[in-house]
Amino acid sequence: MRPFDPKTYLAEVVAPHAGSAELPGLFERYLLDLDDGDDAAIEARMTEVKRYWDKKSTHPKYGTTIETLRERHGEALLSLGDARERAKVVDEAREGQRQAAEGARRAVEDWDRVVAQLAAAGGLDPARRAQLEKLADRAGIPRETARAKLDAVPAAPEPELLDASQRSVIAAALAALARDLREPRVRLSLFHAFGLDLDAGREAIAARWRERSEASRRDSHGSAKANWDRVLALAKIHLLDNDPRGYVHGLSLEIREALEPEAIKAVADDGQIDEVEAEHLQRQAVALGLTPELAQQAIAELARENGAVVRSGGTVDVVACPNCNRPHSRGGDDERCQSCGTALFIACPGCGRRNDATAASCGGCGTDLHRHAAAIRALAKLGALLEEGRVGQAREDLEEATRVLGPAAPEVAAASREVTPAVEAAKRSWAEVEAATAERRPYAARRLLIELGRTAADFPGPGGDLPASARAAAEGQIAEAEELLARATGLSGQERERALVAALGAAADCERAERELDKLPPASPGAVAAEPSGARMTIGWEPSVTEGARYAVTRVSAAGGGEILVGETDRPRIEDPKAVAGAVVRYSVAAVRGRARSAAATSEPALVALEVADFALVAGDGEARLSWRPHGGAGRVLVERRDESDGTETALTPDAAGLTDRSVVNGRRYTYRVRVEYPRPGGEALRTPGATAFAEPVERPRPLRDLVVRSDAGAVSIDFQPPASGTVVVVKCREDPALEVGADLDPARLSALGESLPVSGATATDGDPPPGRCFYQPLTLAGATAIVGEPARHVALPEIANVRALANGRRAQVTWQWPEGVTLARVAWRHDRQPVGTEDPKATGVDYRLGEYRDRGGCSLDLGEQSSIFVAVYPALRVEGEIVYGSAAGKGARATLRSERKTEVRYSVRRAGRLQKRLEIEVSEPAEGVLPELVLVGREGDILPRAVSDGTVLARLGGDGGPRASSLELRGLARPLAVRLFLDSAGAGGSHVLFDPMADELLIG
Amino acid sequence: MARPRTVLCPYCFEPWSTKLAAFRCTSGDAARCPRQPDEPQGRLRGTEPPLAPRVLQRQGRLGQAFAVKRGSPVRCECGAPARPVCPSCHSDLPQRFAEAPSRSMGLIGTKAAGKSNFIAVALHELEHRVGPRFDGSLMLLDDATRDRVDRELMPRLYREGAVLEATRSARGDATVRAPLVARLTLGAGGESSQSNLVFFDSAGEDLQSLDVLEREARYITQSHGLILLLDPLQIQAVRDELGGSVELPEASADAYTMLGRVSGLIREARGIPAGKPIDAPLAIAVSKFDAVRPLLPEGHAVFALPSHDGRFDPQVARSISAAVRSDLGGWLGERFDSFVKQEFSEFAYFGVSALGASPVDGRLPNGVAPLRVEDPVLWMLDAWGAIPGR
Repeated sequence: MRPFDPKTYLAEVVAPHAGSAELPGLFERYLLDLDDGDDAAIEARMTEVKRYWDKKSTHPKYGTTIETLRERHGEALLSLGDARERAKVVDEAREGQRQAAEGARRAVEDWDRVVAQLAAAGGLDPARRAQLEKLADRAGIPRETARAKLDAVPAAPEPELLDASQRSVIAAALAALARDLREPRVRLSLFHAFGLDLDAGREAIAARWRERSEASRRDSHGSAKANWDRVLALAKIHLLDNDPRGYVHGLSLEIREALEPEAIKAVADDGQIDEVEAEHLQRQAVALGLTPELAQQAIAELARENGAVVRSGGTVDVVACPNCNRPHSRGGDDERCQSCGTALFIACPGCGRRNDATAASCGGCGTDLHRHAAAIRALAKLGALLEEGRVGQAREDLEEATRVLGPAAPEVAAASREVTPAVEAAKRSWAEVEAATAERRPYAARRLLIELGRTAADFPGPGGDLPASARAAAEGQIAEAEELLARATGLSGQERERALVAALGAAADCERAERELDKLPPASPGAVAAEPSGARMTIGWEPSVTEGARYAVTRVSAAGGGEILVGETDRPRIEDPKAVAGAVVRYSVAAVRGRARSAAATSEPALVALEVADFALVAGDGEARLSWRPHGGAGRVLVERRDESDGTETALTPDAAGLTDRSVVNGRRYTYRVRVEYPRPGGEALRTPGATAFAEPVERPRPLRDLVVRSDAGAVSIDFQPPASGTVVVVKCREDPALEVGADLDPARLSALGESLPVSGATATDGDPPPGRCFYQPLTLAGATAIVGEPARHVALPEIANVRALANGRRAQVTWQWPEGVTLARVAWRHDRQPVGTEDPKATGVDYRLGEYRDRGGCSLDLGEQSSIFVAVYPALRVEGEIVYGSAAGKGARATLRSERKTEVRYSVRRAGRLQKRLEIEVSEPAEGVLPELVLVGREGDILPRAVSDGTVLARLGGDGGPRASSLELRGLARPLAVRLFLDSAGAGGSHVLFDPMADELLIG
Repeated sequence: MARPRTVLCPYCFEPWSTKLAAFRCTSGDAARCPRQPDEPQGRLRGTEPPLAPRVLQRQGRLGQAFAVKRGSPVRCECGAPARPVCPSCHSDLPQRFAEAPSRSMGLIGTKAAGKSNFIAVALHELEHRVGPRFDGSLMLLDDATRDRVDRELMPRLYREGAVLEATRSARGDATVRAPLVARLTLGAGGESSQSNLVFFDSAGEDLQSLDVLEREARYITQSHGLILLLDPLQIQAVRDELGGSVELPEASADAYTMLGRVSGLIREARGIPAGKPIDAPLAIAVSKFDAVRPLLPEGHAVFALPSHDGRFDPQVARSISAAVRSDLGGWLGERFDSFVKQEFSEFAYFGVSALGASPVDGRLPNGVAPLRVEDPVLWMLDAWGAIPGR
């Protein structure tokens, strides 16, 4: 047994397990060996250790672990204190040791195998050797053994140094890419371009290369894509097809050379590179692209080359800027680069851990951070891209960042706010360019494209062209127009006119062509005629012979006031709604082209004899209302009415703007003619032909109620009871229209309520019911008003089908087919008729869940004393805590259990008499009234008779005036005996239903 | 509650005294606990003895042999814990199986009588409707039962709304011999009663052949009670009366013959002499009762009498039995009833419908709406004295 030394116990036994959930093994914690077998000594040791724990249970560092050990002491005592149990624990511990040894053996074998593979593959380089030494430590291989084995492996040959010319080709490609990406760090090395460190393995390089190649395939053509493709090709050659160490060595050499002057300066004064100088040089090396380890190595080599020593122990702990690679002390306060302001750290999207922004993957969970960091950097540069007029690139970068970071990321949202307006502005400009091109306005298109080339040069139009190429097309059209214009210069007369028109055809916005045409006046139009037409004057003329001419029409009143422009048109006809009724006017028409104008042609004077304006006729209940807009004091309005039923004509006297005719009869049809009489200058009156309208006064209809809404095959039908008069309109409203039922509504307001549905007969149809809830508002149009009906609420849910109701005693078992996706239903029932809806105040209802339905095998309703029940089942949905119901007007959603009013007949059978030898049968229900004829049948044995023919008739009851009870002597009857009452005639089953009492009464022992 | 004195294994149907218990080592390490040929398992399966971890026997006071202290599992000599198995056939026993009396119900009936649907719906009703009304609960006891009920029977019937497929014959598939084992607890507190219900579902054709019945359906001879499911649509008189109003199944062997074979087997297995009735209760349940409703008077007891709502009402059971017995007498003649009376000391008739309506193309558009499907089970529990307060 090992000795117990309190001085070393904590450090050797407890400390390795402090803070972890795992405790020292049972034997280890008491410093026992597996071979220890002396029960007394074991118990003494356990007591000793326990005492020690008691003292140390409040230890500031190990108190928690010791407390747990104390709690487990009792359990340990049971296991170790009992020889048999201890033997089991020893077995388990030995098994554990065996498994651990097995694991260790396997780890050593694995390590040996890797070393052998590397030896076969050409030997070890220093980096691999360092990795293998670490692995050996982890596998528990003694360092000396591991080193000896590694020493036996030949060193891998140094790769060929990549020559300077190749490196300069790479540097040039990287510089171009860095400029394009605006990421100075990219120019440092091919590794940096891929977001990798110089010591990245081939697998990592290959993975990143593949990823970038995929992205490059997606990129749109441009310089960024071309630069990436070049860098990808170089990376393939120098990092994947060849040993990347050649490239890395070359880089290290270049950086050493770059730092040499400074190193020499540092050595010159005291023959050494002290700590401050070494750190400074290392930081510079890191800034130039080396890893801290390679930087340390480079400074050491510089010192050696210059015969100096380095007074520095370790590598610098810095974090490089992901954009410009400037190193910053890790322990400092810098969150952003002091040079370019880029964030130095990023939070892992997987676990939230803070990582260097240059890290390839998260140090906590291993999530790939490269794309994440690249996306964040790309977002930071969007502002600059927009300033450069690279809206297209900014849009692509934003889309890529959105894919990587997700649309909800705050950085994406902020960048989107910046980029989206620029993208929209570019789209708008392109739309204007398209319009100008379609209208053959190349000058305008060119202006717009010049501006687009400045603000969004890389933003393609709808056809995929960039502003520059679209501008070339516009220039071509302009050149064509200019050529035609030049040709016109040498021509005269009609030839010159045709050439100028052709130039305008090529470029409608060619101002020079327009100006030249302005100098050639068009030919005048022919004869002009003017006449009244309803509430306006109509003017017509013979067109000008000049092609492309327009016409300017002016009005001159005989009463004076000068010429008033009526309008311009390219047709030989125009209407004048502003001519003053009763005035005498003339119209002049001149042909115009550009700024050139012909001599005018003028009409004869004409009287403006207009009909009344805005004439309306509305039939009401016992009246007809006529209205119009009067033409000031001009003319006199005359109204004539014709009763279409008998042809009677009546002249009516109107007010200035209308009349209400109450001398009409509902149901008759009337024709109203409204004319205006104007005085002519000569004194003779002129009557207009008049405006005619029809009216049929009707009684005011009642508001529509009880709409029945049915869903069928994606459409909703709304059935209504057609009113005696008026026209029904059903408006679909998204919200409750909250109108008072019975109120009058101006029909003009219907469109504001919602969409009017097509109505056919007594059904309106909604072919496109909205998802969720809506309201169907019925209105009855009657004359000038719409009478508000009661709306029906509808929820677009699939309809319940196959509703069945089955009687089980005094209960009705209701079952139905649940449509897909519906898990809640409203069962509503009435005893007099079908429920009108879920809100029918006379209906009883219950909400039923699908689970409840399955558990109970349907819905059981108590019939009570009722014999009929009308059930409707509505689909339902819980929306924000409120239950909304769908419609259930379809036949399948309803069921009726209707039994004719049958009289229930119940009876009792009991034994009576002192010796129980008498049998008394009595009809208990109905208590009074006429009974059908009943027969009591007795059957020998203990099986009930099933029909009258199964036994002997023992008694007769009921019938007209017959007895309600009977008494039988059992003496003489065979026993056991089974008795049962039957309706004597089959016909009685139509009006009566017979219920047996309990079997105990019917089986006579 | 007192532990039972004997327990019937639901797999080999051998009863054993609860003085005896057996446990099988759970060690997965064959090196530590060498595998041994398991003769009883081989006998049960009809195969070579499989190699399995060792089985330990333990003896204790009556009812205590299987008792295990909480947190101190029975361990094999190799140190690994051991789980309870049947001392006779070494099949794994459902959890805490020996703590409650086992009552097995054998379900027999002709082909397409609706036996599987009946069992599935009866279990559902006991769990969801009857159990709660009797302050009780139903717990499925073993993995095979849970798998079959939760993954096969219930989803098909209650989620998909499709009737169950015909049970495979035990001749072709040994897994169908596995029973459905559930523990039904009725009542609460000191009044409660627990029963391990073991339902056997057999393919109808297995019950129609004497040799197959002898070989594959031996459990019937050991069942504590039998439910005979009678399909009325296979009775000629009913078929004639209904005419073409409902879709009729193919008529199978008659129930009378089947019951004769079963009772003969039981007598033989239990050594009951002719003239002495079999003491296991027999529930004769007329299935698909909804389909024969048009042939019955409007006030028929099956439809008119209340269900056993939280209390088993023997008067109601007797009245329904009398009415259905009378109907069956009319359809089958008195021969059937006479035979039942002669062969079984305790019997009753029932009218049930597991599905509540005839399926349409194998589907139940309105789901399962059972009718009195729990009645035979409750009656049998009552006959066994397993309903508290009765």
